[in-house]
Amino acid sequence: MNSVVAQNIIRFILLFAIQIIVLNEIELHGFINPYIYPLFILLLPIEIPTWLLLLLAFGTGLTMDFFTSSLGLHAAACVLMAFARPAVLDFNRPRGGYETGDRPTIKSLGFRWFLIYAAVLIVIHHVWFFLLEVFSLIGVLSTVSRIVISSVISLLLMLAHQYLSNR
Amino acid sequence: MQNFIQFILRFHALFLFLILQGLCLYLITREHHYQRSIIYKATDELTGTVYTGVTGTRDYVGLKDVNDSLVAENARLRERMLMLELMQISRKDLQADTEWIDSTRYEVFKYRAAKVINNSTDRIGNFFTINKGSKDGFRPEMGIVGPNGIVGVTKRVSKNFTTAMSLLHKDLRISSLIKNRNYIGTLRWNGGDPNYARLTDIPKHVNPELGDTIVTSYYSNFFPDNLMIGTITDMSLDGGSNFYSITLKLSTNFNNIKYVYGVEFEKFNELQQLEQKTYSE
Repeated sequence: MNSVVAQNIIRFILLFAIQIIVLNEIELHGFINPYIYPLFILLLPIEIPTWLLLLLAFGTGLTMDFFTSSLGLHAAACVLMAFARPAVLDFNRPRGGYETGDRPTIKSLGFRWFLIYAAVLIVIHHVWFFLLEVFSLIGVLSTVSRIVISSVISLLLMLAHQYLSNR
Repeated sequence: MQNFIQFILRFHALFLFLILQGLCLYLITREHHYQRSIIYKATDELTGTVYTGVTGTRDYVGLKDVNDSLVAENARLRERMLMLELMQISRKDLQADTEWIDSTRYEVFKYRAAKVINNSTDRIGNFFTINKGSKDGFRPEMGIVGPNGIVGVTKRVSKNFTTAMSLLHKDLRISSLIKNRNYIGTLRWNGGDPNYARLTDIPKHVNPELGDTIVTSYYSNFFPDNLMIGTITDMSLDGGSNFYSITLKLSTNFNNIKYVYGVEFEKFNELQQLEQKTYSE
């Protein structure tokens, strides 16, 4: 158990070193920034309890946020990704289920398995991240509340029109 | 009660997820609020130190570019000096009317050199960090100028570091002037290519031309007037609109800003207080 913890701590530091020193410096077409740090969450042991997974994801995202002054953005994306992980593990279950000693890696479960697993979770992470980034500039709550309120009012107007014109 | 506890335990993952997501959304929406600045105060020094290390290695690689831009800046400064000398000479000729040259604008601005230790251009709201902080006289809402033109406006200041909103930030608006038309518009950046920004509020009758120079206007509280921003590369009149949609190429290459100057406007506080009082009346 201790070696698993140590292994993950080292992986965390290593991934963040790559992320901050190399990847954050790369500018692809000026508008693309690749992320490798979510791999830390992907590679946590399969049998990890969900609550621990969520807390670790939150901490991971927050660490990234501190380095990019985007407080909350990466954390939100990581938490959603971690929350989806058990479900993805479940539907991507190899024939015969997981065995003790299986780890969520290519070496342990094969290329095809890892590709599906990683692709689904990374898409979830990125979609949520970029949606929130757009919203955060004007405020999530104000945007969402504007969407909700104007939807409700529009709907009420249309209903009113239906009642009035059909009489 | 037992049922309730069992219910919580059964769905503990869902509840924890909702709590954490809620916390994140809360943090995101608190952009300008107190809690956020407290959290950053605790972490800015740490991340700043890491970035100083990263920058150290990067500096050697970029020395040639830095040299080039310093040489260019030297040339510009020499030109400016010459101009000022000329102005002084002409002033001596015109001693009777000392108001002829408005020197007050120049005297109230002070420049403080700093180095950029972190920078981004790939987001919609870009920030950069510089290696000087409150102990070097930096404070929030201070204009930042690079060798090739304006770069941004400071946002948060800790003891040794300052973060600033880059010109490449969706929320930053700069009052700008088309130099040879003497007409003022608003500069903004809407994401996308970090080399181009947009100028709005220029009415139809101004007739700007491709290649016209855009500089800071005399209405800005962050910058002295007449600082380079960019040149017009594209413009169009949107169907039926009375205003031009102008695209300009920024004179600063935001992918390699290294050395910048904080522009200290000595009477900033006084001006701001006066304006706030006026607006709130």
